[in-house]
Amino acid sequence: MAAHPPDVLAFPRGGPILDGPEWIVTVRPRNLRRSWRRQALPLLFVLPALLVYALFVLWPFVNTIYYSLTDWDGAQPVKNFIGLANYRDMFADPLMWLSLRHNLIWIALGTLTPVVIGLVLANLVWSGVKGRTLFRTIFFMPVVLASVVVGIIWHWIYHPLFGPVNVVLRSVGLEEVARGWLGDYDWALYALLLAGLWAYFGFCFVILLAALQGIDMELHDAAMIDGAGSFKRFWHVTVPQLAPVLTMLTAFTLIGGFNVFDIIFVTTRGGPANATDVLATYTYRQAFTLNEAGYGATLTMMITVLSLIASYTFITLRERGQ
Amino acid sequence: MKRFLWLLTALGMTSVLLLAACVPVAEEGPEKVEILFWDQFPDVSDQMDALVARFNDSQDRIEVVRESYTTTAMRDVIRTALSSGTGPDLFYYDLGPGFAGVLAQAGLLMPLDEAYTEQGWDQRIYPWTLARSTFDGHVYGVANELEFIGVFYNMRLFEEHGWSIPNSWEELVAMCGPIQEAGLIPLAFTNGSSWPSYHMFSIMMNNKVGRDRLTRMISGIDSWDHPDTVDAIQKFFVDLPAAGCFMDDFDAVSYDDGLALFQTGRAAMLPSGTWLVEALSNPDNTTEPIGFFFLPPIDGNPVVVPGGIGSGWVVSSATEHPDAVLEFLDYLIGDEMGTSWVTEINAVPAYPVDTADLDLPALLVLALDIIGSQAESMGYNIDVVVPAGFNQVQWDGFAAIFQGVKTPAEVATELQAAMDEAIAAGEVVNLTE
Repeated sequence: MAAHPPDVLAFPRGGPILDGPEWIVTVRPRNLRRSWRRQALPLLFVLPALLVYALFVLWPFVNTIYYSLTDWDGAQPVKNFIGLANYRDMFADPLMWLSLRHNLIWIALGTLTPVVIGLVLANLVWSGVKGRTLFRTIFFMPVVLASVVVGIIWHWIYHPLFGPVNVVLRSVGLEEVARGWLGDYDWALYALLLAGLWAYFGFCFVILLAALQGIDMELHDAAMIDGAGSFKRFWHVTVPQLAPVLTMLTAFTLIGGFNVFDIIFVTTRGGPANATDVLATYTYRQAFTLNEAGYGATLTMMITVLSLIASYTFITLRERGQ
Repeated sequence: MKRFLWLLTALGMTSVLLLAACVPVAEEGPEKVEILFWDQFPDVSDQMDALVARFNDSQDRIEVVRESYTTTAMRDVIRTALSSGTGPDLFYYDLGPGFAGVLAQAGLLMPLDEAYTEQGWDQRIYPWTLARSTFDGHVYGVANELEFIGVFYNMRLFEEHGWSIPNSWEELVAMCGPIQEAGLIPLAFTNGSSWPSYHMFSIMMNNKVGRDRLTRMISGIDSWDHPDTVDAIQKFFVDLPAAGCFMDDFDAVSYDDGLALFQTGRAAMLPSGTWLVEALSNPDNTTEPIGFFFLPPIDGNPVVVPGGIGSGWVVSSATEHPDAVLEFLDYLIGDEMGTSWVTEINAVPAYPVDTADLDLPALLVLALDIIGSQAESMGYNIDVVVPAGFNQVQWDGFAAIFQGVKTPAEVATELQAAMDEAIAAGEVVNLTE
């Protein structure tokens, strides 16, 4: 038992609140005021940000949950509560499953590739290549472009009549390979994925290049003295030190894979024949074209839940690995 | 010294404010009412600005503020804008049940029944247009522009090669080979934007089943899941590409690119609508001489002109100045404006316009003649009068046929399923009444 009563009530962590005399403490009013101030002041500073967060994130999120339980068409003031009917319909909707499949393809190829490319390029530039600033600028340039601009650029690159991809293919005798990439049912998604990778790998590159500046060079030197080659040093010394950044980047990209929307919307709008539909474009169409805002909200919940599960699982596994 | 300067500055500013307060203010009249007006004429924005400026200059009570949107952008934002109370007072919008119909049902549009008769619009505007802007027994829109779909052709190329306008479907298909051999694209139909296929389906269905039966199909009475629908789809979406009538990768090329190929003489024909009259008549855009014909009959059935209202004027139910809005609307569809729509916008108004003394492009004269003589018997541009779900099946379905993913029969079945769903949701307008 404490020689002097504590300023505030304290409870044993995780245990029941005891009612023995040792837990009855007196609190001096002056100390209480001081303590309240000490706790209230940070809260006061956080409050504006908290209010903004509540207003623009929590409130819409709660509303989305509510809308997902209604048959709202997005315009009517009346929203009829229909329970879980939208969720039942969603799981029976083949287009939702097709869109989800496209999301998973996007995640599988689009998560790992930019991180790997970014890591390799960052390591090359970090290792002392001349023109470091130039490379950094060139690789990062696509990242600063708006998605709409990226979409337009790649729309031209893939143009079936005069796009450079087909022009090059035809000029080297591969006419059979040339096609209307964004209008081809089998290729459109991968063509867009390539555009997405181009727009994103620069972000991974810059983050990893920055992280490489914090690498402990003594470990590198020690490994070199021990006879480790450059690949072994990269794999066993550099990569482990980059683990937190790699985790962050992968989680970020993973969530992005579930939320991908703009580049597809600008170029194909999910077509042809749903070949590039992902959950976000399908959600948009349901909510804003087909006047099914309630069902659109349900699909939004699906995206949110999948993103949360994927991120949580990945981060947990990563932490366990460490 | 510094303090003195501060004092001097403060004194100076106070004096300026005092002097400003003493200046006599000109006596003001009643405050001008401002109305927000959204249209879908970005291509002829200068001309529209001039029309609005003329109205603003003609009186001192109403100030119209114009904002222009593309059709897609308008569809994306209008519901949110109206629901949040920040939308326009008056706007130009699709009058179909999947568009204006949805807004009307949500109470976001002002009924125009009284205005329609009081302003005498019922005497001026083609009466058949009224049914297409009436939902639940109330008029919510005023037709502005009429459109119909057919085939534009390059008269120079036809003359040079000795080709003639086809009189039957078989003749049209047979033309594709010789045109291709001449190094040209027979039909500059492109579906990269997906919506052009809607119009082709409309042409085919009008000619295949005729106006009366199509009216019943659109109204949900007759079924779309029928061999005639399958045949109409098969002929355009399967047989024509197989006969080499379209360019390579036509389903990845945008509508604008297809238009450009036609405008530059690389394609012999372009199936599209009268909204292109301005672009194809303007020598700055098109140097080739362009003619027009309707898609030839199918199976000997009569040709039915697929047409209707392009879009129309609708008023927000939240407008604070309904009288001012109606006054401006009356100006927009007035007799005097009819000439402006024709000469400045190259559009075909939804009411008769005396064009006898006007110097108009030949294509526009042709369009006006057709509207004047066939307005009452016109068929339908289907996508304008069907619910959104039906259009979505067209959007995805025809693209799927081009890709070989679905058959015409499957799409016909899906069209009927979408219609059944729309009937159950009360989204179908009965055009037979």
